[in-house]
Amino acid sequence: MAAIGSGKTVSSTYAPVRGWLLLPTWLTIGIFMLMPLGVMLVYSFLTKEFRGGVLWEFSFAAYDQFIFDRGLFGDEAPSIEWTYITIFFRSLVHALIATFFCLLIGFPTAYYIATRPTGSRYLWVYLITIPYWVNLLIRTVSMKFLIRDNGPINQALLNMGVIDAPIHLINTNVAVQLGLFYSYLPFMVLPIYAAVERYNISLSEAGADLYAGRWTILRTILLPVVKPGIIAGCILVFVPSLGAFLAPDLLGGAKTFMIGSLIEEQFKGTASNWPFGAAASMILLSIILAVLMLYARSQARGQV
Amino acid sequence: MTNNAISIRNVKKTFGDFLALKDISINVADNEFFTLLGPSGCGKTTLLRMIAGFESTTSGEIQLYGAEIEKLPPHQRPVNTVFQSYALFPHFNVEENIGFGLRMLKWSEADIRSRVNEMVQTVELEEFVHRKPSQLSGGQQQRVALARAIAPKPKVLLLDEPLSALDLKLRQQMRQELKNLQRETGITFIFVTHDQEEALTMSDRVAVMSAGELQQVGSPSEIYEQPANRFVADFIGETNFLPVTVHSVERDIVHCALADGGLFSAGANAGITSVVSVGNSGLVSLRPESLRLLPAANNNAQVVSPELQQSAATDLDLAGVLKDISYLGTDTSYTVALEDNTEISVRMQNGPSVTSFTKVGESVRVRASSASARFLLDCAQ
Ligand SMILES: Nc1ncnc2c1ncn2[C@@H]1O[C@H](COP(=O)(O)OP(=O)(O)OP(=O)(O)O)[C@@H](O)[C@H]1O
Ligand SMILES: [Mg+2]
Repeated sequence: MAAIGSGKTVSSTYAPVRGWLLLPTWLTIGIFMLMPLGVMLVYSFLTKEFRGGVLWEFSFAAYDQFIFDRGLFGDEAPSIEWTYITIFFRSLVHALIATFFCLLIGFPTAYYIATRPTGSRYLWVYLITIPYWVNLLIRTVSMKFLIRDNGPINQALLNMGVIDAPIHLINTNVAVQLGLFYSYLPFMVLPIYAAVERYNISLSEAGADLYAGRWTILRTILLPVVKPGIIAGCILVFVPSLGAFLAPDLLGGAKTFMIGSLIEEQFKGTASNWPFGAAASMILLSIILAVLMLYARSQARGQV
Repeated sequence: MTNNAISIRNVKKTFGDFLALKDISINVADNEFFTLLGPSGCGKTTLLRMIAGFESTTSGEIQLYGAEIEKLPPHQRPVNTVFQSYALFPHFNVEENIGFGLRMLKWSEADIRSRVNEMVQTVELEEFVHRKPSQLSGGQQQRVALARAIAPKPKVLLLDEPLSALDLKLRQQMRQELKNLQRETGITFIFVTHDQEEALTMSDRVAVMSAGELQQVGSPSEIYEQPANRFVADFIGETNFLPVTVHSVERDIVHCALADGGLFSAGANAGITSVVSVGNSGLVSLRPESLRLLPAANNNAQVVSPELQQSAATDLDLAGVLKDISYLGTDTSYTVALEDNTEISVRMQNGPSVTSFTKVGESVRVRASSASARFLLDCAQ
């Protein structure tokens, strides 16, 4: 009877099972993540078929096309092709700006929610997630209707006499920013909320006790302590913003063309070029991996 | 008045409609080791947080060296706190934690460095200055919290149960160290605890609180030997209560009648003798160690001290039967059942000159001098 309660019996009986528990995860990651990535990697080094698809001939053409301009017939001396680099750069800037605004608005929001009494705190978290019950496409389309020149916002402002002519937002960078901000704000709020909720408020009191004013407490104690949550939020907003295609497609125009749309185009419709789309994806992936590795490096340095 | 470090006057605190503190008035002298003692939830932390500025008073005032501090935010009060959970900054190492207050006060780099070194030596953490709080043991964290709060040389140091998270051995060692630290620095300490032993061994004076009310303020020996009421007598140390009726009252003595008619005398605080009158019922508190156990046959060999003869006081003398004997090393604890089945515990030192009782069931007498019996009013007030 006594042996039933002994830790040794339990652990040797049940420990081996734990390894098997990970099997579904490994299968999922292997089949649905690593294999498609491998396919894309291979495709990016193949030759394009004109109606979509690939020819099994090894080629650097996709990467070459991304970086160099060799004229219409590919017979001129190569010069740098700025089109795609510009699109990438524009996407980076958009993603950075969207991350910045999400942080600016998301941090106070998360702090507010995390410092509510338990009951209303969960209500707030719940409210934050409500927009996610609706498909992203629908939400983006509704936003388009809201902000277009003769949409309800402009109409209301015109009627109130606040403005004389409609504010033109559709097809501008501002509209794309609005779309990105709206789509990804909760990804900023939730991890920061989780970090602030774990934050021991007596650390702020200790700061005040030791002669620090409110701003100093925020800057030297609260922000550094919840930094992991802030960084997680920034990654969760930055990465999908970088590859976003719905907001730029629906709210922006030719001038706001972003990587996501570029890649999307290569796999759809008549202009399709699978190897090129795959190569663009691989380049995007490397940028994201580089950012994440920089983050991991800085985290590792934080630990003594 | 101005030599009071802290003067709390008629302070009340309500949370919603819950009255957490009811009209508290306390003066803490400069340089004093003052302890707030009371059971969990009696309002000790609340009072401390009001002195630190984290909680506002509902009414009443708090003065620091004669100056009203109600309007000052916490970071402008020359008062530092050692938090119950330590609240060390997890992203700073030991050195940076201790120097935090000094940096906020804009001390020069050189002054900060020398003060931090001094504090690190005081709390013996020289080897750990570059560690983060998470890499320290509980006792070491406690020392960092202490050093951090003392470094800016506050006028008053507030300590909220700083030892409660430590194991017994370390707690006993830290008691002595805290007391030494208080003497060396000359800082007024206001120390919160629910551990009566801690309060008695460390403090110059103790304020006993219960349910938001101040029960008694006095030196450790005063609150132990002359408790103001039943709550204090019961909370501080161990005691036996006997119900009695008042037979007659003198200035500091109450002559009491037991249920069976036996008479004896008990000491009483002036605050009590001025309000009781003959026929009132009350309680007598008898500390186990102030009682003597005598063989039943010995009842006429009374040793009456000259002091007792002067005041015509009568010793308590009760007959009973030994029910239980526990040997505790230096002491032996006896449980005696009186004739009405009330149980009384008696504690006597072991030694060559002491008669010890070894037989459960033996008939004995329990004796208490009037100086060691205390008369109390029955209600909590
Ligand atoms: N912010 C608050 N809101 C409502 N009630 C509170 C608040 N803070 C304290 N209280 C109540 O006030 C009473 C006193 O609390 P306090 O923390 O001062 O007790 P304490 O004496 O320090 O107890 P402990 O020894 O357990 O720390 C408790 O009943 C508590 O529930
Ligand atoms: Mg407390």
